[in-house]
Amino acid sequence: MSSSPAKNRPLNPRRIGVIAMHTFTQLVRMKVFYFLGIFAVVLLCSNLLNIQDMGRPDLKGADVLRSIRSVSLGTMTLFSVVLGIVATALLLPKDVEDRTLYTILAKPVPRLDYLIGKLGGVLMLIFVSLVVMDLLMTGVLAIRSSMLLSDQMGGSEFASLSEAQREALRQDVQLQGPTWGLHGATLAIFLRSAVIASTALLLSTFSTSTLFTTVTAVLVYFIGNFQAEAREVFLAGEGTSRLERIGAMLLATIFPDFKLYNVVDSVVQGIALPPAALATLMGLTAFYVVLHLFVSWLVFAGKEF
Amino acid sequence: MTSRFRPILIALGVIIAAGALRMPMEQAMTRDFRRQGLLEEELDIDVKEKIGQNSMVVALAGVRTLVSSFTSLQMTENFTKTLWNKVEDNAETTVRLSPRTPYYWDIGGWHVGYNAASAYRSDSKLPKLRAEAEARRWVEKGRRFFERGAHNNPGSWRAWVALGNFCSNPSFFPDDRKASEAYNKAIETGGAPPSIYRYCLLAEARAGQDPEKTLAEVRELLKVPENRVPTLLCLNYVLEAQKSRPEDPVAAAIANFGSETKALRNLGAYFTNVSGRLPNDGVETAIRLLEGRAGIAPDSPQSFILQREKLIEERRFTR
Repeated sequence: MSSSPAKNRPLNPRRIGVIAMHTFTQLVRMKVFYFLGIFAVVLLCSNLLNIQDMGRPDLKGADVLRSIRSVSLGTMTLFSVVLGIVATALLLPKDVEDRTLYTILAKPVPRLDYLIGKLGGVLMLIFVSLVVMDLLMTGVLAIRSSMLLSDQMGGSEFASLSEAQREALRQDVQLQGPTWGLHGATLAIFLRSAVIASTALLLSTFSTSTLFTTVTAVLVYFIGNFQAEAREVFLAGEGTSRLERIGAMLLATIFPDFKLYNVVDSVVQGIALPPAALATLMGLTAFYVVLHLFVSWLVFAGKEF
Repeated sequence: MTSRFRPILIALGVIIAAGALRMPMEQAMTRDFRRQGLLEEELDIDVKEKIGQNSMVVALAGVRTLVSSFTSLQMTENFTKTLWNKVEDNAETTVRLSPRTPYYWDIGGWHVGYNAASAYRSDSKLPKLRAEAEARRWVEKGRRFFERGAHNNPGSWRAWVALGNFCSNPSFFPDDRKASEAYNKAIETGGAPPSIYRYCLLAEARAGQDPEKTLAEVRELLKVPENRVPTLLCLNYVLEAQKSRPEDPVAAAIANFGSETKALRNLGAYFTNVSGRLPNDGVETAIRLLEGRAGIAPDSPQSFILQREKLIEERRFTR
């Protein structure tokens, strides 16, 4: 009995893993990790953003922790979105340009595995980057919050506070310091970049130009941030014309809703991210990624190179 | 249809079908996240204009809090330049981008309510009446700002205390009834430190609302040793005197404070705290009697009665 049909069967984890690892290495060789240096500089600068403390001991220094959280998570969002779009947009045209694609597709590699492997490599790169950035942020926050705590607990301005007030203050500082909620926010950032990367992959199957894919994916990202409004226009019914409703319906159905991932902002504001909300976002992300991969495959499967 | 376009049309069909499937789900998620406070409401058009095109793009890219950090920094910069209208604009933009950060409401209210109002009041270039009118206008703005901050963060005791403190401040057209309401709301959150209970009672006493109830609350609070601070002991004395004038004020004072010396010291400090605007029923009589027993003459500089008269005179002069 021949074993070749089994080899050609799609969704082979080993094969996908090899392509993903190769893509990851390919991207690392493109020196994309240099941006981590920029992140470190941004993170260090955020330590210097000292907003007035109003002369109140209970607010002294807490704004620095808020700045670090806000600047770090904001920078992580921007970097991961840019990385998700650009790295994915580069992949297919680069493989065509290098003629790597022809050698891969000449082998018994199903096109679906190729696409999953490519996206997997990009996601691996984003994940590793976010883990490093998360560690840097957590480290800086841990150092700053412990400095702040020792300052507050030993400072003369705080000496008049009662034990209960000092405890409340300690808890407040700890809430602004490194918390599990921050890692949840990092995960939400990763999920957002996974959706934009899969969108960029879908777009790149239509086009062979990196520039077109990048520009279109950026537009899709911004439009995706208005998606909730489009949905509300469509569902509102009254007070909107038929044309507006059709337009809103198309926007709401075609573009992914990136606004849902803005729960990251609530973490910066000190609101804990419930695990249920994270689980919902993970489910939604899986839905988008599978959908985009499936549609990419529909287009890519019939494409001639 | 040519075979070239067929996959694209099929792809579009799949995307629209999947979109129709997820739309109600995403609508429910958005509603649920907003209810949990995890997602903000939409930005108003005027905020979009204020933060400018570039910042708006960044804000829409999912980093609203990052933009609010920068507008907060701009607010600080404009504060150092005493550009109060810009400070107000920055404060508004910051809180609209991050409405659930009590700190931003606190610092915005501080700039608008306290700093801008004080600056206008002491502006020598303005006629006195105009300066006072401008100060009042900014105090009103500051109060509204603190009120909005508290209503946007009903679970934050800090936001309610910030409002209560502002409404109690003697320099900013105090509103004691509003202050006591704010302190009560802070206590209702369950996180307020014990000092807020005392502030609340002081505000209630200043407002003069239901002294019987305030006295009962003061007595309850005094059962805890930590709360036996001079001001609260004095308030207890005053409220008891309001209820029924003591036949022997000295005996009542000793019963309340423990000794004549402590009674004179505490009641004296309470009596000379003119800016505290606390009720004084029975205090003057008790101090006169205690000073008489301590051998302090009415015209002696040690006399608290004389000290208070001087302070009131000074305040009248400085105004």
